[in-house]
Amino acid sequence: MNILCNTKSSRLAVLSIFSFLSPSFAMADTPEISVSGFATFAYAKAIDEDRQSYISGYEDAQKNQPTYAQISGLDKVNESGEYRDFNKFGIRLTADLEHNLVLGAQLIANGKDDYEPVFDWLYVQYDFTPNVSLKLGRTTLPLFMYSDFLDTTYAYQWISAPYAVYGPGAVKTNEGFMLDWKASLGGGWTSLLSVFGGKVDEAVPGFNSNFVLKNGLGLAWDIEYEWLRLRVVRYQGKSAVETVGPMFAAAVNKGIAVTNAGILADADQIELGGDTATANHMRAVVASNQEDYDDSFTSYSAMAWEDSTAAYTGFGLGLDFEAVFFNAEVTRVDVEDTAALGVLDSWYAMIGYRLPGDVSIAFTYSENKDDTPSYDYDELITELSAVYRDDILGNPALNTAYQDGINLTAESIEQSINIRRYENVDTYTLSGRWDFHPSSSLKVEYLIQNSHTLDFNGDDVHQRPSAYRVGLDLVF
Amino acid sequence: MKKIIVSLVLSMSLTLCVNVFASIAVIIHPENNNAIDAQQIRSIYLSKTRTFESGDKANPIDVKDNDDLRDKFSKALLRKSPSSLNSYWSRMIFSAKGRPPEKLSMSAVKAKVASDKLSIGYIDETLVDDSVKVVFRVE
Repeated sequence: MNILCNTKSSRLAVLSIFSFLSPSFAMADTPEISVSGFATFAYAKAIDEDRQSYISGYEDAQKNQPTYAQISGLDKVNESGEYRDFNKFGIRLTADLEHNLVLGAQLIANGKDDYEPVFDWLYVQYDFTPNVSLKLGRTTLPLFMYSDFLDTTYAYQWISAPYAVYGPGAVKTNEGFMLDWKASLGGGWTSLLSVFGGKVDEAVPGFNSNFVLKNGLGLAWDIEYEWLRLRVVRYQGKSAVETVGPMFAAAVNKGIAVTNAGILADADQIELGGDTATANHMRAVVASNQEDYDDSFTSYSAMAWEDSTAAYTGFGLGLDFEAVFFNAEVTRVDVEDTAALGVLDSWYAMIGYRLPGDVSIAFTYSENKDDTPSYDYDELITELSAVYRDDILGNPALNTAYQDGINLTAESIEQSINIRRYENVDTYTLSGRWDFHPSSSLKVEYLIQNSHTLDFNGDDVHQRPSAYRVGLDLVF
Repeated sequence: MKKIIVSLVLSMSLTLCVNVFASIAVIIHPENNNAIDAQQIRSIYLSKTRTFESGDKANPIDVKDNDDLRDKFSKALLRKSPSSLNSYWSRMIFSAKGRPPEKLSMSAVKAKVASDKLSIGYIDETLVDDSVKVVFRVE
């Protein structure tokens, strides 16, 4: 029995639900409602965590600051086992309102978010022709080959798609439009061209505030011929992040604390010398220091930015010869002039073989590489110094007294940038899938990661964690 | 009682044999003049295109009461095993790119195609009559 033939399609009298779309339009008395859904239950366990405690200092901030290693797909797993974070449940409703109008919605609840349900699709679709449709509302960006159905793990080989491509910097939800154009090119070739745009405003792992991408515009083009699939995508817009993370705030605060202590000590000395007015003014400067810093760093592109061009580029190749299948993608995420995201180059290749009995095995190699240009820390120190000079009434004689604080602040920020960075991470994944039921598949995976991240001082930290995962996928 | 069981087993075996070795006829309405080849059937059934060559919307219909016939059709024309096809439709449904064809019993497929000029279906070739036009055969 084919699972998808179980998709519930029924003519229901739901005029009261959907009539707001067109109150005077009597056709909506019997829209066709389709309900589909998926679920994943997975367990993961680290075989060898190999996680060095290379973060020193800022202990409180450390607890809340995910490093690259901690937020990657593999390193979320520890030796005590992970029962919940890969679990998910999604339900999709599609209402065919006839006359080429469709309403769609999808709710998803992720284990890692305590199963709190959120709408990740909510759109109205109009079909201009059978092959040209426009969606307005909330949709999932078709950034890379698996992006727009990433949560439906039943649809692909792995328990989760390669983190190298689908993790760092990837964004998901678009509020705007998506235009799809299907075409037959003749000779067995088909094409799907998607043009999409709008706004992204969502949490990104490791960031303290939302990643916002405005005026986004993208194009994805899929062409297929029987056993071949080729894909190209380009998407870009203007991005902003208010503040990246608590580690950054801790770095700034530590610098401020040292500097302020210096200012207050000097103010006491000046007051003893008889200049109470200057001393009081310096104390007022201390009181307002925090705000000045906040204003200054809101627009500082090292760890927070606005109006930087964010661009996503990807090329995909799929081959399917029935028994043997192959998939590869090369992607780049480039957030201009930023240190926290920067330039991330990733790729993976997967080769698989289908065995009798609905069993398939696959090997995947993936790599992500941080190609962000080195940041100019001298520029950072210059900017910090300028802030201080303004604060202390333009008195150059006092600047030297606070240089320690400036240097410490700059050093702390540099360290907080370093700790987010990696040089390159390779992941080897051996995966097996068994479609033991028409609606369900059982998957096992063994992963080894070879990661080179940076410590506080910018020195290489080499780790080789490994883990296995077991997953059960269902669709209906 | 034993006779009943024996005849039930025999009839099931015969049914299985018929299902396994039946030829498949891909059918359209007799007044549908579109030339349709295997590639177009595949494109329409996988929702890669939703029209015939003429530009008219195609209404593909799948068979729900004969797993062997459907699997044979999937392997021969769609080049997908049942599990691959399920994965494919998961991808299409949850990315809002398409939905699988409506599924009807084999007799209903024939009746639908005979009455709807834009429907396309497939049935056991032995069921073909003048009410439908065969555009492709899978032996």
